[in-house]
Amino acid sequence: MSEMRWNPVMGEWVVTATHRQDRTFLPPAGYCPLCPTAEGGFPTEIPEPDYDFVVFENKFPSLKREPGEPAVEGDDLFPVKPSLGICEVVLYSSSHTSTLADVPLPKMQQLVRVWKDRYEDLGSRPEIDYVFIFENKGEAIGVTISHPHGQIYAFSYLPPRVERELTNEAEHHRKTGRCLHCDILKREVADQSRIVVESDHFMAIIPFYARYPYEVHLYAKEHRGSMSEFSEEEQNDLAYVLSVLLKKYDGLWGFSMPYMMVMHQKPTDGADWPGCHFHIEFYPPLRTPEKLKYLAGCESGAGTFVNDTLPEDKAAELRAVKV
Amino acid sequence: MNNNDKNVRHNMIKRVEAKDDGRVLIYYTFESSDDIEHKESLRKETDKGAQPKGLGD
Repeated sequence: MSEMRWNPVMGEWVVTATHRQDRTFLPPAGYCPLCPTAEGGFPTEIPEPDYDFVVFENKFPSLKREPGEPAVEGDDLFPVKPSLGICEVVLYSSSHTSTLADVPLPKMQQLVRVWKDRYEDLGSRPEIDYVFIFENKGEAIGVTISHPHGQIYAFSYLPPRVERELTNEAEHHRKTGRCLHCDILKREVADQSRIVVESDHFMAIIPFYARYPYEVHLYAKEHRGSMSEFSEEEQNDLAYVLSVLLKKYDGLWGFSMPYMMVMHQKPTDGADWPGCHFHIEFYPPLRTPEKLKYLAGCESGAGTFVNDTLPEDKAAELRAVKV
Repeated sequence: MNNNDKNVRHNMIKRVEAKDDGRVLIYYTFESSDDIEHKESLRKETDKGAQPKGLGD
C-alpha cells in the first residue's frame, strides 16, 4: 500500500509505502541486483553484461507514476492523496566495489550530464514539481545495497525542507533584490575560513550555520538556478570540484566517508523562483572516525541541531587534506 | 588533482527500454571530444567526395 497522509500538526505530507518493508537488504556478494547480468548468472536489474551509466525506475518506489487510490479514505482533518511521483535509481558504475569518489574525472563529467538530463526529462512532466537528486552512501546512513548508486525522487509537490528554503530565498530576494545564496558566497569569500575547495566556477564551504561537523555546501559561484543553466565548461568544472571534495572526505580518515548528498535546484512547477541558486549539500553523519552524530531528542523533537564542532575548524581540516 | 579536462565535450547517447514489468530502463553512453572530432573529420572528408580513411578498404 502506498499513499500520502497529511500531517495537520506540522503542515506536511508523509508518504506510506508498506511494500518497501520487503526491499532488498544487504544482499550477499554475487547477488547484487545492481551489477550487470553475468553470462549464466542470476538476472539482475540490468540485462546487459556491462554498462557505463544506467538509470531505472525503483522496484520498491516511495512515489509511483500510477499510484492508484489511497487505501484509506481521507477527510478534512486527515486528508490523503495518491503518492504520485517517480523514483529512479542512478548507477554510477558497473564495478560493485567502487564509490563515487573512485569515478575518474571524464566519467564524473559524464555523470553530471546524466543528472542534468534526468532533471530536465523528469522536470518536463506536468505532474512533477520538484526533481530531487540525492545519494545515501554507507551503512551508517542505512544503505541497503552497497553497489555505487544514487537516487532521484521526482515529487508532485514541493517537499517541506525545500519549500522552507525557497520561502526564505524568496523573502530575501523581495527585501533586497538579491539572491540570498549569492550574498552568503560573498561573505564566505571575504571571510575565507570556511572554504574547503574552490575552482573556476564552484566553491565548497562548510556553512556558518552547519548542522553536521563535516557538512559541506557546494555552490555555483555565478547565479545559476539549476543544472540546465550550466555551460559545458561549468558542467566539467562541477565534476572536478566534486571529485576533489569526495577525495578529501575519503582522505580525511583514510576510509570511505559515509554521507548523504542532496541537490537543491529550481523547482519544475513552472514558477520563476529568481532567488533559487543551485547547490549540493553533503551531510556526513560522523563527528570522529568512530563516533556518529545522532539525530537525538533535540534534533528530532525540537528541530534544533546541536553541532559539537566549529565549522571554521572542520573546514581547515578538510582544506588540509591533499588530493 | 588537476583540472586539465575542463574543455572536453561529451556527446550523450541515450537508449530507453522498458523492463518486463513496465518500468523504464535507460542506458547512457558517451562519446568524448576525440571520438566526436574523429567522426567530424570523417564527415568532412565524405562531404568533399573523398574516400574516408578506414572505410571501404
